[in-house]
Amino acid sequence: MLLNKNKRMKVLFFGVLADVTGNSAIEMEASDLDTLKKNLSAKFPMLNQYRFQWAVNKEKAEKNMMLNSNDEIALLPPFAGG
Amino acid sequence: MLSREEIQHYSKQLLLPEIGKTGQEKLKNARVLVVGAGGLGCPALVYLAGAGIGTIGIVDFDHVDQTNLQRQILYSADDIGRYKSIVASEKIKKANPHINVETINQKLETKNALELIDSYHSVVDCSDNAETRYLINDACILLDKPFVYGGIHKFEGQLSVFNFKSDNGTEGPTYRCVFPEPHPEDSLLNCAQTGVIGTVPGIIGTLQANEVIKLVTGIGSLCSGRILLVNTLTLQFSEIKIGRNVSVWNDMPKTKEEFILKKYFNITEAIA
Repeated sequence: MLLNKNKRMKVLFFGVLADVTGNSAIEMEASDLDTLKKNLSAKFPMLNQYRFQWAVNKEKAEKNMMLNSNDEIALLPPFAGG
Repeated sequence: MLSREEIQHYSKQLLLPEIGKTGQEKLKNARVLVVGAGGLGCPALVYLAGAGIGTIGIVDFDHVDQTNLQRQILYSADDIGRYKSIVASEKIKKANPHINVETINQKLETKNALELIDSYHSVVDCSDNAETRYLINDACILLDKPFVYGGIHKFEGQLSVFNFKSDNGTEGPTYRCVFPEPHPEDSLLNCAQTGVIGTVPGIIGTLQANEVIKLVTGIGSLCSGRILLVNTLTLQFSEIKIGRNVSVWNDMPKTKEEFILKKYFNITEAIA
């Protein structure tokens, strides 16, 4: 039996986070949001210098949750400019 | 009551059943404060004045600069060096002589914010720095006023109506529900440093005015409980649902007295 614990999901970077990661969207694998956060900060250590909000499937994510294949995770920083 | 002249002036929007005379009178009786007369503020002011918001306050302490002209559509080359609040006020009054404009040639600070905001029904956050955004948010919460937030970063924009109380008394999310407290990096990310093309604040500032028109007239569904994200390079509009979460407002002053004593601008000053 194949245990497919890690699922593939889309990660979207907005604003300055797209600048610092050099991507507006990437694909990653993780079973839950906390694991994804850990993997992302290992892949892009400069993310730790910024503060942003997490959203899963277009809804603000307050705490850890299981992730499913094709989920869309967004990292949203505030935009100060005007 | 609308005058004969006003009925003529607004005839094209009076034709819209959603606006009509009732909506136009609501717009006429509205008092809206626009904080910042820059990239976002200029288009917002143009359309708020055009729609007939009866009293518009403009807070800005800055002068028109040559580098403003590629995006700040109220200003011309011969305005360079003049106060933005004064030039903006002249321009929008010329476009619509039926409105009152209150020119507030000051920086919005803790010592003047509560008194200034209190005399308006709603606020449009067209500021260009994180500190002012927290200050507006906190003052609006303490005074129970809704405000329309707009922000830009390069080719992207954000928009939301914060602290909106619906008719059934449900309170919408605030800026601090999404971004609980300021961060030193925020101050470094303004248009002056990162660059900006005029159409982006043009789009977001126009949408801010559009939300004010809906807020005042009660038509449509407001961008409350969600934050709109616009990417003008891919021309994609998306949104993220947000909820009110008072438990993360740790940095928020609890009273008006605390607000007046709070240091909002120490981050910038520390860097400068």
